[in-house]
Amino acid sequence: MRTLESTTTTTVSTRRRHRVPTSWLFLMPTMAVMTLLFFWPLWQAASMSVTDTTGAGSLTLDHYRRVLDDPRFGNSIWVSVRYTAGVVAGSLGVGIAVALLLDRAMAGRAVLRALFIMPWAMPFVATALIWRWMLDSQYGIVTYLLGLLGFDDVPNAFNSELALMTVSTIEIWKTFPLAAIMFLAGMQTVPREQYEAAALDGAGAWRRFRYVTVPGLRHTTRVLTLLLTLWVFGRAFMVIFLTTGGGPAGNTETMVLLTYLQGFGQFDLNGAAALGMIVLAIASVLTVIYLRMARDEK
Amino acid sequence: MRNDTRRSHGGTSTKDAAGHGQGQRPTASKSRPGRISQKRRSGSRVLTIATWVLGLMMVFPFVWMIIQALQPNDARFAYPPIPDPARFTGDGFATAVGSGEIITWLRNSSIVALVSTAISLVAGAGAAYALARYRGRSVSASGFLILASQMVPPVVVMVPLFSMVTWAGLFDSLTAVILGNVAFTLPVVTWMLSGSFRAIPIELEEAGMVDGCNRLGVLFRITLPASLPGVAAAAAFSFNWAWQEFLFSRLVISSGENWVGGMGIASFLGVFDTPWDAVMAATVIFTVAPVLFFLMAQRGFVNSVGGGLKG
Repeated sequence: MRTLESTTTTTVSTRRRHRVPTSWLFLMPTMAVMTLLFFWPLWQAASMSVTDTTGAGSLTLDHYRRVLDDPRFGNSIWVSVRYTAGVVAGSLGVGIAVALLLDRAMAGRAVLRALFIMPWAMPFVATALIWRWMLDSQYGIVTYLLGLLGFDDVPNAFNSELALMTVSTIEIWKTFPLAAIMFLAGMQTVPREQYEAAALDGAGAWRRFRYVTVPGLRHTTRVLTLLLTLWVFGRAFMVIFLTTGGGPAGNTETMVLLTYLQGFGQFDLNGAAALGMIVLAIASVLTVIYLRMARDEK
Repeated sequence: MRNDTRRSHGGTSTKDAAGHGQGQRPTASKSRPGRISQKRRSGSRVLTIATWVLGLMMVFPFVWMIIQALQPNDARFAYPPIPDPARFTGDGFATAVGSGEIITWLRNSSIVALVSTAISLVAGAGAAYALARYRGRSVSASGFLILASQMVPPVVVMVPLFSMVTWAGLFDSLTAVILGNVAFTLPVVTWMLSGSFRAIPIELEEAGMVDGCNRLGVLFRITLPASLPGVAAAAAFSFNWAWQEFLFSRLVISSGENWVGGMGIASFLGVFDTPWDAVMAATVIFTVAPVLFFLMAQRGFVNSVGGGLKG
């Protein structure tokens, strides 16, 4: 990396005069598209959330007041917290376990890696369709197998207090490959000599994991936790939307799902914009807290 | 282990005494891992079996989906839900492929996914190159904006984006869906590409410049081909997202002829009175494309996603 930087500067300095315009030419298409399709809509959302729709476009906080007074809002925070914590922890746990299993020389390793990556590649609608079928309370194979094991009166997976656990499980199944891939990539950067040295010192598998792998993966884990948290909190509601739709009785209605439903279920676009800004504020706070923590640790 | 250590020490000292100090180190380090792996071999087999069992469990939903597509329709609601391989048939696939509806959805999804991916790659490659190779305020500001955009939940942008495409007269067109996809894939693709471009040794590019390439030529003739696995991974990501996107398309598409695959398959959710074999067959077909793409781009993912993390 260091050599790369120094060479970059020398390369660029020979063509110093062209530096700013050229980099701008490269950046412009992306920044233009993002301004049009992302930053401008973002600004629109912000202004929609404070625009008085009844009056002559004056500023108001009515939309915020309306969505905050709704009992569904408080509920959705609680659902989001549990859902995000569960899915992030589950994906990290399964991800690192799978990465450890795959980080060994064994027969069929390439095939195995392909098997483990497949859930990530499965389209959400297909995921929702097949899981709903597998967990169907009458005809589902999982329900049947649980019955064989003696669990006869399993409540409906999507329509009972189990619903949040069910959608979290499906989301973990969908997300863990990403964590596994990143952990696996991170493990390649841990120098082999460290493992050999630890083994020479008589460290067993657990101690090698605890004192070589875990510290070596600290950076990966940190970035991954942030990414997954933002992802699960801010984006992952496709599975919920397609299975429970937020029910039963708001049991799985996360903040983003509520925002989507407010906008495109009740067609309260201004209320949805207000909710969206609140979601964005929480996501920003999470990021800042996280960056602080990462900095303090250094 | 202890015995072993003592023995090798003994061996070393004799060798040293014999004046073969140079050869001593490699022999010691070669014998050591050998011993360890021998000791671990039985545990290793258990772990390998465990890996296979877990891997097969994880793909079970795929297997089950294929089985459901092969089952005749009347076996759908059988109890117990154990499939009978003797009755497997390709009727479901025949119905699915024969139905013009499903073909239309798949065609629309292909158009949307390919165009979205092409736009993201072409625009993203430029920005990624700038992020990887240039320095300066505008570059780092752009890098920050692209990264910060990942913090924004898409649903926030979806409301105005919906109004925007409607205002622009794009309601009920595939263009609207494509624009919605690009808004979300472009920053990710840019980020992934810049990660893999950084991994390309700059000497390679300098050689190209000496040979008379300009920066754009370098990007297309040297950097892009050299980081093909990373490009494949970014393409697979973008394709997969656009292929299955459904939350935005269901807002901006109304007429049946413009439905994309995600909408079509979602329309069967919760409906029991449908030809399940055909639906499952359509879902299998719908799943195969992104899975194949992913499997092909696998290696690139490990490198570019991981590389992006390091940078």
